[in-house]
Amino acid sequence: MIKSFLLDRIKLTDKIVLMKRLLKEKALPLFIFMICTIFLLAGCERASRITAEGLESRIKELLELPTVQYIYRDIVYLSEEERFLIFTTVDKRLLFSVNVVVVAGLDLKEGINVIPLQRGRARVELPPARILSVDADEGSIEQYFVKERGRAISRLEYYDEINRKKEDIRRDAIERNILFKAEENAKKLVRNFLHLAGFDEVEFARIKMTGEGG
Amino acid sequence: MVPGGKITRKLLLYCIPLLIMLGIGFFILSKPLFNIDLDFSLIRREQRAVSVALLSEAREIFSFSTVEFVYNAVFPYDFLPEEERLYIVLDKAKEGVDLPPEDRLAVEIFNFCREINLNIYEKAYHFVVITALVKAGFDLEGTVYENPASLENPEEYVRINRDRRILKLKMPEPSITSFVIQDSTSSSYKYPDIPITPYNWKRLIDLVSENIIDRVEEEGILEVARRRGEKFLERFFNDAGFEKIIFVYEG
Repeated sequence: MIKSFLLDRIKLTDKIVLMKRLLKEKALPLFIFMICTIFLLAGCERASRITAEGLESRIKELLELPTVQYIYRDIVYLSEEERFLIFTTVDKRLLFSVNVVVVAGLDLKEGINVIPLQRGRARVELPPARILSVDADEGSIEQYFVKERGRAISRLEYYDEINRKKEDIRRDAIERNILFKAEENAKKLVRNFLHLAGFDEVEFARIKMTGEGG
Repeated sequence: MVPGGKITRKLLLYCIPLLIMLGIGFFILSKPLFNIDLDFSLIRREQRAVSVALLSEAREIFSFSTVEFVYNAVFPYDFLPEEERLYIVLDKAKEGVDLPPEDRLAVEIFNFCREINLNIYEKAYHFVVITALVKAGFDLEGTVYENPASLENPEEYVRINRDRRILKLKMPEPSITSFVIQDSTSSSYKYPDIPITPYNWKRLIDLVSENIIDRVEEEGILEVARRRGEKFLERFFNDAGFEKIIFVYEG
């Protein structure tokens, strides 16, 4: 009785030792296998389709008379280098040029008044000329060279640099009288319309009150 | 053992950690306190961005924009059919089947994405939200309104009846006056960025521009532009003393 009890005990102890050894030897690979499986399954999940349906497309009423365009050639150089000790891990270089277009003219939503005077004369009150847009023209891009080692160049990297320059370009355009030219051309257009409609003389003044035009 | 040796060993035991700590402290505080850049970092990063912009051209433009359409499109997914259908279209293209224009565009876009390593329907699921600002109105360049002397008979464009009450205006057909892709910045664009060089970005925009304009025109932008333009000119000439304005269009 005691003997069989002792034999059972020994067997049980052997089993426990065996189990412990198995766990020690196999647990780590088993754990890694499970983690990998979870990650793989998560990675296999199909991403939902992205469309513009959720994005808003909207229509906006305008009354713009763009009359002058200044085109600036912007030459952009970007570089980025990353080193780990003496090893270069990232080396990016890019040189390209792009046209930045400044458009000036009148925003007639600010108001416009036509006052017919005697003997074929008219007085037109116009708003001041404004910069209507400053935008990079993608069609004019010329890329001279690109080097992408370690990491690719992304779109916002160079757009940030183009946008950083826009304020200087706007200022330069104003210094070069873009607003004066825009106003003169707008006056010319309005004068032509009124001449053709039978007005011999058209005089211009700056509109006093701003508000809904047209 | 000599007692002097014991003292030296004790001194070393205290001094070495103290020196190490002083060294670490100096290394940490050297930049903020003494403005000394020791640069013992394992990883070093250098970035440079230079740009010079010079005026290359000044041009007169004569157009009258009356409406703007802000169009958002997700590239490439808005220009591709559903994934299952895309592979059918690609198979047909391989077999040389004549495809309708939208399927031809899908094949072109798919091949373009593959060529520039943009992952679609797999791995990174690259995409970019393109915001197009499309303006429409009347292009007055080269018309009698830009230069009345350009035509021998300007009356063909503007006619006034005898008592100066009715004005007949001949206008160019409404058209797209401006097409601009909004420039994104890292502060305004909140979606993930895509790896693309400027040259490939230009190609991408070239690929989709015509399609976006077609979609905007299908939404009726030109008709809205015509209505808005007529409304404005009607009020303008009413103020000038005309009672009725009749619009006719070229072509």
